[in-house]
Amino acid sequence: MPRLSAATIHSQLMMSRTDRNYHLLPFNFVRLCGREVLVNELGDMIVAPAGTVERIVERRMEDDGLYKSLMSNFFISREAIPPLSGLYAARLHERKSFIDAGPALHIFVLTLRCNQNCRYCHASSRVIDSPDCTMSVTVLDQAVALMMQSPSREITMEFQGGEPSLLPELIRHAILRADELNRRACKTIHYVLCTNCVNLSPGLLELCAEYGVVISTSLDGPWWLHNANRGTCDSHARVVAGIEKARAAVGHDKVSALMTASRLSLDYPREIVDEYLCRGFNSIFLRALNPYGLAADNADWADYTDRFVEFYKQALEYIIELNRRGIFIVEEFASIVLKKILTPGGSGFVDLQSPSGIINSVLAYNYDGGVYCSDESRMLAERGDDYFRLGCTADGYESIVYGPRAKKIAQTWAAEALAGCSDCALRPYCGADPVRAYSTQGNAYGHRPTSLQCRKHKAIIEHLISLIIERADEVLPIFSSWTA
Amino acid sequence: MKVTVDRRIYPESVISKAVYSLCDRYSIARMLASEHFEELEAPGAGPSFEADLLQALNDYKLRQIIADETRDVKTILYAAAFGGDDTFSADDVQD
Repeated sequence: MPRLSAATIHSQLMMSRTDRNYHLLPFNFVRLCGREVLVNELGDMIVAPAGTVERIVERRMEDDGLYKSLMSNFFISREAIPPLSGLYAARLHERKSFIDAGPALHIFVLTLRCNQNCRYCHASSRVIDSPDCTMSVTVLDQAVALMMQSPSREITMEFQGGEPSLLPELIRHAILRADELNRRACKTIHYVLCTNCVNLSPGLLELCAEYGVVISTSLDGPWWLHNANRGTCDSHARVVAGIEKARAAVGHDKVSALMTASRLSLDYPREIVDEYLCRGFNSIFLRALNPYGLAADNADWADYTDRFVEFYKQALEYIIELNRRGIFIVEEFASIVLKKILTPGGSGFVDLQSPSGIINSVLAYNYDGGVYCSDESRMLAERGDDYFRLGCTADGYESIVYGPRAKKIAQTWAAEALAGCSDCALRPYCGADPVRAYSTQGNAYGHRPTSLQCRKHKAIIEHLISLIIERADEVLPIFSSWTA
Repeated sequence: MKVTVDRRIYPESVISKAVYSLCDRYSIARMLASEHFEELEAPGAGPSFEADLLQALNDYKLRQIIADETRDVKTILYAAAFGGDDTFSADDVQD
C-alpha cells in the first residue's frame, strides 16, 4: 500500500469536505472591517471572512456552518431554482409592496408665506405678507379629489408650506373635504401638519385634536443654535412653547420634531441630542441640509457632506451610549436602514426606495395648482425648473401618474438599473433619487462616484454595518429595539 | 501611472465598471494597446492606483460572474414576485 504524505492526506480530506455541487443565487458583496459582507436581493446579510466570495464562485466552499448559512439564506442553492422559491418571491414582493399600493403620501403646499426667516430654508418660503403664493379653494378641492383617486388604501395628507398654520381655514376645508369624499372611498387617512409651531391657534389645535392630526415641527437644537439657524432671537422659546401647547391639545405622542444640521450644528452633536431628550422626545432624525431653496446657495457641499457624516457618527455614538445607560432614544434614519438590514420588510421611508418614492409613493400639490413628484421637486420648480412637474390639479389622475413626464422620470427611478447602484451591495438598503441627482448633478440619471448623496448614504450604511460587525453584543440589542 | 490589463481575464464590461467606480479618485484614460490588452493610465496618480484598480477589477469580475450565473434565476424570481407567475421549473435556467 503506497504511503501518502501528510499534505496529500490533507488535500484529499479537504476535497471530500468541499462541495462543488451548488448553484449561485443573486447576491453582491462589499468589503468592510477586513471582512466580506454578502447581501442578497432580499436584503439578507452574511458577514464572512475575506476570500469567501471567491471560494463561493469557484465552488470551493467547505461543508461548514458558513456553507449552511449561505444555503439557508438564499445565497446558494442545491437546485437551479431554490425549493423555497415561492417564499423568496413572496419576500421580494413584500419588500417592494409599495409599488402596487400607489401614492400614499400627498403633500399639500398651501402657501409659501412664512412667519420665520430660516437661513437654510428648503421650502423657498416668502415673507408673511407676500401676495399670490397661497392655494385657492378651487385648487385645493381639485388636489383633494386627485388624492382620493390614488389606489392606496392608506393615505397621508401632509400640509406643508411656507407655514401652513397661517391658513387654518384652508386646512379645515381640506380635512373636511377629504373626510367627505372618504365616506365613499373608505380609506384610512392620516393627517400631518408640518409647522414651526410658532403660531398655533386654539381653533387649529382643536381641529388637529378632532382629526388626530400629527404635528411635525422643526427643532434644531439648544436655543442658541436653533435661534442662529432661524435668524431670530426668540424662535426657540416660541417653538418650545408651541410644542407644549400642541402636546396638551393633541397628545404627547402626536407631536414630533425634525432637526436640520446647519454648518453650525455640525460641531454640537451631543448638545442637539440632549435638547431632544430635555424636551421629552424619544427619537431624533439627524437630517442633513438638502440642496434646495436657500440651502442650495451654500458653498462647498462636499466639505459639508463629509462633516455631516462625522457629525452623524458622533451623535449616533452618543445615542448608543444613552441607550446603554437605559435612556431609550432612537435615531430615525438609522432605524429606517436597520429595518431593511435586520427585518424582512421594507421601511416605508420614501427617500430610500427603489423604484424611487417619487410618484410611486408621493405626490405634491403646489399652491399654484402644479402637481409634482415630491416636495423637493416643487422646491426645484420655485427656482424656475419644472422638470418634475407632472401636470396640474385640473388634470386627470391617469394623465398625471401615467403621463409622458412620469414615464420619462421612470427611466431613472430604479436603482437596479442605474450605473453604480446596480452593482452596489448596499442597494437593498438604499434607494434611487432622481430629483436629487437632477438638482445636484444636472441630470436625473446621476453619476454615483461623484454623488454626495451616494457618498453620505454609503458612509452611514457602512458605518451601521461596521457597528454590527465589530460591536454586535453591544449594539444589536439596541438596534433591535429600534426596529421592533 | 499606467496599468496594462488583459481583456481575456477582465472583460470590457468589468473594466468599465471598475473605471467608473474609481473616477471620483482618479482621472483614467483607456487605450487599446492590442487585440487583448488595454492600457489604463491615470496621470498624476500615486502607486495606490494600481492596487485600487486591481482590487476593483477583481471585485467587479466576481460580481460579473455572479450576475451572469444568476441572470435566469433572478428573472424567474422577480417574475414570480411581481408577475404572479410561479410556473417556472429548473428547465428555465440555463446551466
